[in-house]
Amino acid sequence: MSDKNESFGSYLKKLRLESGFGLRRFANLIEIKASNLCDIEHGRRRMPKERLEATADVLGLEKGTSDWEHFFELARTRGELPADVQQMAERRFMPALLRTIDNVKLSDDDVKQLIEEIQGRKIIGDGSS
Amino acid sequence: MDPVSHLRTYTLTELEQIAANQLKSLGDNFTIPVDIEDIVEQCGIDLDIKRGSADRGIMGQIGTNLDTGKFIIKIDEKLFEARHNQRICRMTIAEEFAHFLLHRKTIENVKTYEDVITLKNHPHWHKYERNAKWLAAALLMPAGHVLNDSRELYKQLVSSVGFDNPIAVKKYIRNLLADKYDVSVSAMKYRLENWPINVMDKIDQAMRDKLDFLE
Repeated sequence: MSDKNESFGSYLKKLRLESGFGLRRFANLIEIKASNLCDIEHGRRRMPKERLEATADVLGLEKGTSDWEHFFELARTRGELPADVQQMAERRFMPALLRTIDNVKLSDDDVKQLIEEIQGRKIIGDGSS
Repeated sequence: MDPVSHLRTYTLTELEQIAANQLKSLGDNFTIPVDIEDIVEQCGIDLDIKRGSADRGIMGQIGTNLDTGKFIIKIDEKLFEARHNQRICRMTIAEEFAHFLLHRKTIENVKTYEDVITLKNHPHWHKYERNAKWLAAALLMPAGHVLNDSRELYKQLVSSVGFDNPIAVKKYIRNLLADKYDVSVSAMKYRLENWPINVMDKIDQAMRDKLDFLE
């Protein structure tokens, strides 16, 4: 059963996982960069038109079935989420743990700035423990 | 709820057991090298990329969506894409996933900037981090498989090169296994030298005794 609010990206990801494909392997099969596939699944980028048929094939969607129709309909109408919807989703992310290069220690200010950027707002107070 | 109240440390035996159980749950989908990205997604975690985070020194992060509670692991895009960084990328994802397995309750209770800072500055954080690193290594380099592979390789090697050069034999086994398990040579070296595998000591002993098998 399809969800009327579903985006192309979330539908694609659902089909990919149901078919047992990891992100990187699937990206290789449909010949796009893994980070681009990640963007497509998160509604930050449209799937290139010329890759749609091949993607449907890899997913085993048969031409003329309702799944095929739904896949192409979503690609056409909800291939990329509106910028404000994307931004809203990104802003609701709270990074609990941050892994740094060579285990460099981030200062409280670094973390504060990072969260401010993610959430698009100023944090009141310095939050020092 | 205070996120720190859920924190606890694990023994090495517990960590090895957690890794073994997690890998066992994969059933027929278990592969070597371990497909850590697939495991993460099959656990319902959203694997995402973050552009430009390495420029500020951040390779990976784990957190939740404050509305849906869904867990998200974000990896720096350059690290995720660069072929020469794949082993670091795999270890980074494994370490974030290890935190999910060990500190799930803590992560889901981090709701504010203050919670993040409390966690970051926790006096025992290094112990929890060490636990996560150990678990990540046990996930990517499962003890039983690594030990069996070491035994096989040792047997093959000494049958052709003899017992004169234990340093070369150990180095060769370490490098081959690092390739097979798709981890860095230093990560494999550490794993081979420590409990529960301890295979480097076993090789020294076997070569001293001119044995063509490892105990």
